[in-house]
Amino acid sequence: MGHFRKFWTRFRIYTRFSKIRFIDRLSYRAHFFLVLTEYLLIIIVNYFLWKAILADGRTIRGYALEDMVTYVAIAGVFRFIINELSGGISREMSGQYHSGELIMNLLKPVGYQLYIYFRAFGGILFQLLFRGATVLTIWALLVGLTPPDSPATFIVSLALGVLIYAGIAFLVGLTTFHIENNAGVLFATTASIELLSGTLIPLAMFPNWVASILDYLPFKMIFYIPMQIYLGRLGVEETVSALIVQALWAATLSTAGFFFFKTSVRKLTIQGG
Amino acid sequence: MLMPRIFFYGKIYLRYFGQYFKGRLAYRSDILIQMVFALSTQITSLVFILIIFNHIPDINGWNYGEILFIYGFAQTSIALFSMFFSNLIQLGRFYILDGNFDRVLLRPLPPLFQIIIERLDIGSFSTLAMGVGALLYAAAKLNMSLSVVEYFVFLGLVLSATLIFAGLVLILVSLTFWIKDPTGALAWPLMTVREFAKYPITIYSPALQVFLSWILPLAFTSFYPATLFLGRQDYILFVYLTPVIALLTWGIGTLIWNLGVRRYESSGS
Repeated sequence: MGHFRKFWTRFRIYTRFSKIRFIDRLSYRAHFFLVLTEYLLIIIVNYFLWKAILADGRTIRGYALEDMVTYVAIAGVFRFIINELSGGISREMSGQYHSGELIMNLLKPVGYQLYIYFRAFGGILFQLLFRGATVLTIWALLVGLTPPDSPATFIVSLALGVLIYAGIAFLVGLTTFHIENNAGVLFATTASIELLSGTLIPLAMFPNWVASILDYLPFKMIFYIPMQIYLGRLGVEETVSALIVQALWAATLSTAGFFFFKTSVRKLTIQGG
Repeated sequence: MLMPRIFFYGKIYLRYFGQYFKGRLAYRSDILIQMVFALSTQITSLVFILIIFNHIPDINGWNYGEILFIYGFAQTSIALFSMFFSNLIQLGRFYILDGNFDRVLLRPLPPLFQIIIERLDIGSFSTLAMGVGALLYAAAKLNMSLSVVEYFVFLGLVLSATLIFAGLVLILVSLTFWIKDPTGALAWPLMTVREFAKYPITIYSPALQVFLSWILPLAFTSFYPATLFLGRQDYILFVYLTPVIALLTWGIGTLIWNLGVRRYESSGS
């Protein structure tokens, strides 16, 4: 019982960080609509592309137009999450490193990794509640949207996907401690995540040799697997094993981040602050 | 009278470029990072095309080579814009808000010219290479052979396309003289809408086609001029119109710019 209460108090402390980020995100209103328009435009381009590609009932590797109509919308909303994690974790960490703010955060009696994660979760909540919901409502009214096959499983899988990318983003953020300017690493990761997680094209459409390499990497676990569950393409056994593999990747990457952070901090040189 | 002036401006451009390049060379890894950045934002559409054509013979009647050619045309003009004109986007923050526009006004050269030449986005070499590469590959795929005259026509059309995009950006950023826009956000949606121009506009709904031709003439930056080399006669009128639209958008841009400059009040810093 005591353990639980202690855990709960700790948890409450970290959710404050989420709340701060959430409120912080609320304060840029013009920016909100600009980004919303931008993402909606990307979804619209992709929609028209697929409409032309899958015209006359054409299918590619089991994907017909009605699947892609939903796919592009969910993938479009997922790009908000990718962006929030790249910005709120990787870029935030390198910003804190260069401004010296990092040292203030290391002095606080909270775990740095969890602090960074929870802040990003607050941002994600904002993206989903406001931007995501707006985009999906517009899409459902104008074009059409198939609801998830099993919403609860999808949400669990999506949350694990977010954790996996948070783990990767934290590792990318840590590179700043070693190579000073890690902007190149950051841009390259964000672009490859979009491709390799399947937000751009369903991974089934990749050449077979690429797809078989991707089976051994965590990227498809970020978006493609949750999307498969959304579309109801995995059987019960496949779903269970997919969720287990997702959880393993999430745990591995975050643990790697934990240890990499420990060794990085030991040889940290802070420039002013 | 005209030639000496062109030489004069050309010489100044080269001087500015030389200075800028020397400054950049001090941070060699930055150039690499810019290239990675430019590439990472632009490469996804190319990968999309490459993968999709593993599965289908054509999109809306346009084959692999044709789609790649249109894509390459769009990419080349986008890269040329980024390389030579992207400093325009800094107007709101760096020039107006931070007060650097005062410095520009004090010098005996047209302010617009100064702002354009003050920065050259070297990172866009990577996307330019990608665009030209796509064009060359597509041309080989389509067994295209151009005469010398056609090469010049092609060059003229690519430059017109670049100027159309630059003109649209100029129109939008010139509004900063009236609307405070510290993030340069006014031009953002345009950077996304240009994604539409990377594909044949025939795939879009009629209303969107009208929009992309006559309201935001992005179809003239890729699709229409590219059709000339794809042997399609249906759009020949639009090909002729391309340089006209270029002069028109750039003309309207400079007009709004001049009105804005006259209205400019220093931020006082």
